Amino acid sequence: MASSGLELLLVSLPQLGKGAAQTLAISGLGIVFSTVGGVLYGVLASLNLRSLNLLLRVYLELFRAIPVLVWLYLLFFGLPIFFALSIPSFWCAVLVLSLWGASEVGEVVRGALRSLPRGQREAGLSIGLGAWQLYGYVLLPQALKRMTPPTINIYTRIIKTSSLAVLIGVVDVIKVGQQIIERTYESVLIYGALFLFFFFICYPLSAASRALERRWTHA
Amino acid sequence: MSALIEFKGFNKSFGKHPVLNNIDLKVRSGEVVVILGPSGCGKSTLLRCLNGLESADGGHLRLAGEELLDPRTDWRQVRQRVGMVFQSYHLFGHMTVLDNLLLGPLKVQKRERREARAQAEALLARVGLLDKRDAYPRELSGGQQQRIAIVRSLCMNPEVMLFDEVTAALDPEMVKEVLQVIQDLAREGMTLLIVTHEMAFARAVADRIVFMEAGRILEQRDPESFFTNPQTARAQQFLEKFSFVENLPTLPAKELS
Repeated sequence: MASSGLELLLVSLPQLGKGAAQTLAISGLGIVFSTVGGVLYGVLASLNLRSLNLLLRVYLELFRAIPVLVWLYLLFFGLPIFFALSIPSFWCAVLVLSLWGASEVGEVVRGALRSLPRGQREAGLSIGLGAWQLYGYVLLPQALKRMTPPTINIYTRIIKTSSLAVLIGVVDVIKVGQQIIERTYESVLIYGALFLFFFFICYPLSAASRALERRWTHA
Repeated sequence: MSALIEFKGFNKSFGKHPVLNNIDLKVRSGEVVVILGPSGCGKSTLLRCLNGLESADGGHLRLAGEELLDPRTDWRQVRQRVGMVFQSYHLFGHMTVLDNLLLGPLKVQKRERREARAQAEALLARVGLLDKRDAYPRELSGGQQQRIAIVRSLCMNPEVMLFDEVTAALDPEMVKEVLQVIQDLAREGMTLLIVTHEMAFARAVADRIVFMEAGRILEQRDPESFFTNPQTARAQQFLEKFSFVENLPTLPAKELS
């Protein structure tokens, strides 16, 4: 049994690898877009413009109140019906993860920017920095320390949440695992492998986040 | 000679609360003007308006004849000509001293690194902090940080410097090293607008004292006659609070004792 189990894993490896690549691609793209979008959100929110803040607030609450799964269904099945616009399930998953992740990262960035002393902004302005320069050279670099640990935690959540993509038909590592199980009934073995896969990707991230947090709060 | 800075009928309020009320003030090039007054009288706001950190509500504000309250005013340009130093220094904590000094010259003025660095180092040497050029702000005392904040503004080659209670956050023993730097600038003929509570310093450095209360200018006169013989009752009371009238120094040359 043990040898056959190991054999099965070895035989399934290329197939699992393809699924894993899909999972990592969705998560990776989601993380990149979440970060870019989140920084943009945070910067826009820190400008304190009333109408803009309202808009951002609505966006944030929509992604806080509605489960990611519902968003996946809404866009994947809804867009073709209501807008005659269909996107491949892979990109639909990337889109939803990115929008959700950006709202989460965005709140972190906003908080980090707001925690900076007001004088930093004024000192930057007083030497003639433009808005982009002010954020690029003065505010964001100083906010980075405060926003990095919680942002890494959001990354692990994005990776884990990417598994929902199965439900709109993305053949990710979980789907591949299920297919193998259907064929072989080796559920413990395969789910064990999936467990290790997610654990070894997410654990180093959250460990890094904790290490950075400890280092930076003492500095 | 026309004024370098001119406030005329200048108004500013926070919500319904007026903080600056019909201000008329002219500052000539090379003049050192010290603004005195009780806290909340609007003196800091006056400086901040000149740097575009607060927006005005009405009246005129001119810099070298150019109207600044025009919506087309490019404040980034104005701020390069009007340096500002704050009470709590506000150095950029993630940068070394030298990077703090070079940010404006390199990124805003697009100057050549070597030339800007030479100027920054020369100015650092002048305030006695050349050996701190690679230090981070948190490694420096308040007085050192404030001197560097002054140099940061000077590196932009401004025409005017604004000092907003720059010694108010400092331990007493560090006040003098900062005032000394300002006094040197005054001697060189730089145009300075200074808000301070250091009365002896004000008297020594000012060409003119402007006394404000509740958003208005009540008096503006040369320091000697202001300190020895204030015209308004409010100014008199103000000076008495600093118990300054009783123990005047006898010979206030332009020198700190």
